Amino acid sequence: MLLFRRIVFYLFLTVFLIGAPLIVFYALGYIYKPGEEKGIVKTGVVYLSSAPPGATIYVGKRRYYEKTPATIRELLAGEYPIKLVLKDYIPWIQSVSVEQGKATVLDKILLRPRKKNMTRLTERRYQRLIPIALTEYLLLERGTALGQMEVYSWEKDVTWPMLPKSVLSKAKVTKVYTEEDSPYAILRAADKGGERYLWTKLSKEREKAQDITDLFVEKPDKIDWPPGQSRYLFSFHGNYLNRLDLDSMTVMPKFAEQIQGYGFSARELYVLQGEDTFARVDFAGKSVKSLMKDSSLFQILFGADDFFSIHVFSDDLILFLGDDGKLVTNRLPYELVERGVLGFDIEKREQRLVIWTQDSLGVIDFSSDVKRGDIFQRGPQLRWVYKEGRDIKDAFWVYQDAYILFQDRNDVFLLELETLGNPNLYELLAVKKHAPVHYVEKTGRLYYLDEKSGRLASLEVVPKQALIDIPLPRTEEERKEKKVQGL
Amino acid sequence: MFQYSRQYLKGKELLRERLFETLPGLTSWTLLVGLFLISFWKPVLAAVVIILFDFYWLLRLFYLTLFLALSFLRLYVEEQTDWMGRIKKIDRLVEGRDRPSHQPSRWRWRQEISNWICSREVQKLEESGLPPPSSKDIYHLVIIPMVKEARKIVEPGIESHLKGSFPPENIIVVLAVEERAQEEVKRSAMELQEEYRSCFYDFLVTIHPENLPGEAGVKGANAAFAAKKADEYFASKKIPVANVIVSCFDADTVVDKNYFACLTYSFMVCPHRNRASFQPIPVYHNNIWNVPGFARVLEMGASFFQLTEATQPDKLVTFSSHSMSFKALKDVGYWPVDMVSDDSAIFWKAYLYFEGDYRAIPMYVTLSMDVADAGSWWKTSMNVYKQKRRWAWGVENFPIVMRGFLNSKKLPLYQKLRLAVKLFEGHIAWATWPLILVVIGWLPAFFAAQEFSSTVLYYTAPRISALIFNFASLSLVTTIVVSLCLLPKKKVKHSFFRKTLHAFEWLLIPVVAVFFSALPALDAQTRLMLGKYMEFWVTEKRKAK
Repeated sequence: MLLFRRIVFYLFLTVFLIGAPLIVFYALGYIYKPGEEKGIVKTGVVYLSSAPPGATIYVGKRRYYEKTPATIRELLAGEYPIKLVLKDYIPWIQSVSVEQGKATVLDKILLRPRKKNMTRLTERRYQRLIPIALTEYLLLERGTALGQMEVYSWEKDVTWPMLPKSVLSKAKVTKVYTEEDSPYAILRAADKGGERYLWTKLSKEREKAQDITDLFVEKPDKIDWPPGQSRYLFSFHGNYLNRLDLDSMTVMPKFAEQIQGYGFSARELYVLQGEDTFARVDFAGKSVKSLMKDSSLFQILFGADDFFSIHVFSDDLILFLGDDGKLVTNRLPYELVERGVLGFDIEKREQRLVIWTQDSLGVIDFSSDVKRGDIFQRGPQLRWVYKEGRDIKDAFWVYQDAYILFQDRNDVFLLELETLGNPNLYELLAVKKHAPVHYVEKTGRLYYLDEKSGRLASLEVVPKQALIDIPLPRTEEERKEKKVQGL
Repeated sequence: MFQYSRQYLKGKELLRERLFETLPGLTSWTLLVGLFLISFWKPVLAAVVIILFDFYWLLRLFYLTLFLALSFLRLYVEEQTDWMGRIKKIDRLVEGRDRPSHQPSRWRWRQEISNWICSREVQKLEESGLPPPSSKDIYHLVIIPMVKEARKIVEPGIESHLKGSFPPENIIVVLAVEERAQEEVKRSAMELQEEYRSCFYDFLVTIHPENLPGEAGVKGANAAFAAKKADEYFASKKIPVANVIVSCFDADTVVDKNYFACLTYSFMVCPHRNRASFQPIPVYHNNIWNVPGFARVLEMGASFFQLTEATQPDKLVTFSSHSMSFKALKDVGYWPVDMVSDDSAIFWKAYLYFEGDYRAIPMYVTLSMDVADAGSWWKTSMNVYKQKRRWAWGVENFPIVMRGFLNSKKLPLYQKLRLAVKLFEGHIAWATWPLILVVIGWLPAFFAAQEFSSTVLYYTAPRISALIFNFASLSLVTTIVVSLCLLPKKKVKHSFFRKTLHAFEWLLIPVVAVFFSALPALDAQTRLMLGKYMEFWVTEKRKAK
């Protein structure tokens, strides 16, 4: 037994000494290719993941046994045409380059169905759709009367009248004020008695709308309020802000003066003030912190006459969007776009921003500030990915940061960024004229008014199984309210 | 003369002791923390190291499984060996009557193999020129230390000595009771003595006084005291100690019916019988079906380890209940009185005392003990954890053995290195391998930064690991088959379905290996490293109602 054991031991030792380096080399991508100059070559891999999964993979003419998600190994360096084929879906074709020892990753490939997955959501027809970002609500207008305003919840898939029937139901709605991430709205309606401002909660279990007309001594240019709270409103008049307290129904006039721009975080108001002040103020008006001490930089960035809306994403990422489309950030090099920006959407996880002008889409990457080996910091990089628009109205990140969905006039397109060359453009559908659309990443669906019928409908853009479902807690808005009330 | 103890050390010896006490724990922690940090800082390097480790582990697993299967086969072969018949044949050889011959079997292949092995052993005995005493003159001293055990724990073991094929008239049983034991325990010992005295050659009860100088509260001290008393007994009865085989059993140990016969045969056929220990295969069948699945898997694993160890007798070390020459025990000064791991310590003590002229002889016969059951699942887990930690405390032998090797002039360097490496590597593997395989192996992918996740290695490493684990499942299947064959068959109250379900319990290995093998071992090594020596904790045992 001892001798046998010794023999087996040396046999296994030999297997290890020979096998171990071979395994390591294979793991690093080396293979033996007969016929090649040197025989041993370093290969690369391509990782493919599609939504939906299970697509057959073709690399050139060769069909692979694996289906997506899959890793294609032992590829020599070079360009490969890759095709993904799945029943009932349009084949996805792209040329992919492979480098030695590297993995080319295409992990967010959206396969487009041959037959679009559209769902009609209402029977009624609407004239306008008003999305409220970061909430479950869409506002729908059947007509101009107050009683013709409805709310649709994409989470519950239910529609209800915005306000209960009342004497004001026939009043004409002249303006609707909404706020991102807020389940409230203000309606400015006119009837024989004059103009009224009505503050209402959008949820189905809402109480009666609150008439807050008395808080408006003069007509405001804008009305805004901080996300997730329902006590304070801020009305902008020319160059000052009034603070309206809905609990006590009082107004603090000229809460902030000489305003050149403002915006909110959950707890504070950010203002551009005077000609050299960028500050942060709590809603009680007591704590004021100056955030910028360089008046010359202030002048360079913001000028004297332009008005900026301020968007606070985090302590280290604030964006300023001027009325003329100038886009400024608090990160170097500060000025991102000189003019023309109409709006933007942020993909928070990857720290990427999509901006649109009338005819172009651009992507700004905040995450790749510094690359190893670089001595000079580069700051956020703007890349124009599409320049052939006609009248771009809105854009959304789709499937994290792999696609951009945008509305150009009455057409909706999907721009694929997950390519190794130029982005691919796909036309999705046409929608009702002058009606905005809204994309919800949580459901992977686009909400719009049907081009012909005006009915509310939705289109599946990203299959459900591809989405990571992180359900919002139902008490989210209550939690935020409580937080703010603690101020 | 080298003292096998860490007490009363001074100067260079004390420094050496602390250095070697630190080494296993330090190595284990360095390995684990190092791999963790490399996974974070250099994921490519970590992934390569882990692939190499996985491959090494796979080959080692195949290697061990092969010898597990062979060892189990040997156990199976010897299951029906007529050991008493063999003993008689050796007696005839000693008496010079006729050379033992074996009846060729026409249809029993097991017997053929067993006979062949026996022939070789007898041939070696003849060539050695060291004839054994007659079996009539061989006595068995069975020492059973007791401190908390109730009568119902101890009695089945005593009964098993009676039911064996070896005549109990040559067995002396000693119940070694601690003075600190409760009166109930002492009373039980006396009752057992009263009841069974007439069945054996003799049945003694010793009371080990507390707080003797130089002694810790360890089983070895109690056993050593009983052995000294037995030595006096043998002197009074004029029984030569060279003819005595001592077995130190746990209180719950139940021997196989062939145990003493096999032991006697092994003693007789071993030319250097008074420089030898005899190691059976421990199994935990007393209550194996009454404990949680994870405990079952764990104890089967312990049995398997001993089965594989039995295939390399040149490196075999005694473990748990075992037997040895009483003369050797007496010569080396009995079991250490200040060490928890008396089972392995006595082997090393003897090995160093006899300057390497000492061996452990594997015996292919089983003895059964209890799984550390405590009633509830949680309590059993704690019991099992503590028991495994106590087993892992065998690492306390490492520094003493190393000092012994450094002090020894006669032991060849190669031999010292071989044994030191095996001892050291065994403890390190015990504490680290499950953690590397189950936890750390996945960290490079978990921590993968952009730089790593865009390499080929990031995508091939999981595939290679998966392939290795798939191959390892072949070993798992073999293990499951062996475990099903090894499980007790006589208890028919559990259905075939239940036994088959046991096969799926082996899927608990990753969890069991981490929480009840690696962590207790790491715990023990860390305590030794920090100088927090363990008190002896008597494992709670219950009998199923």
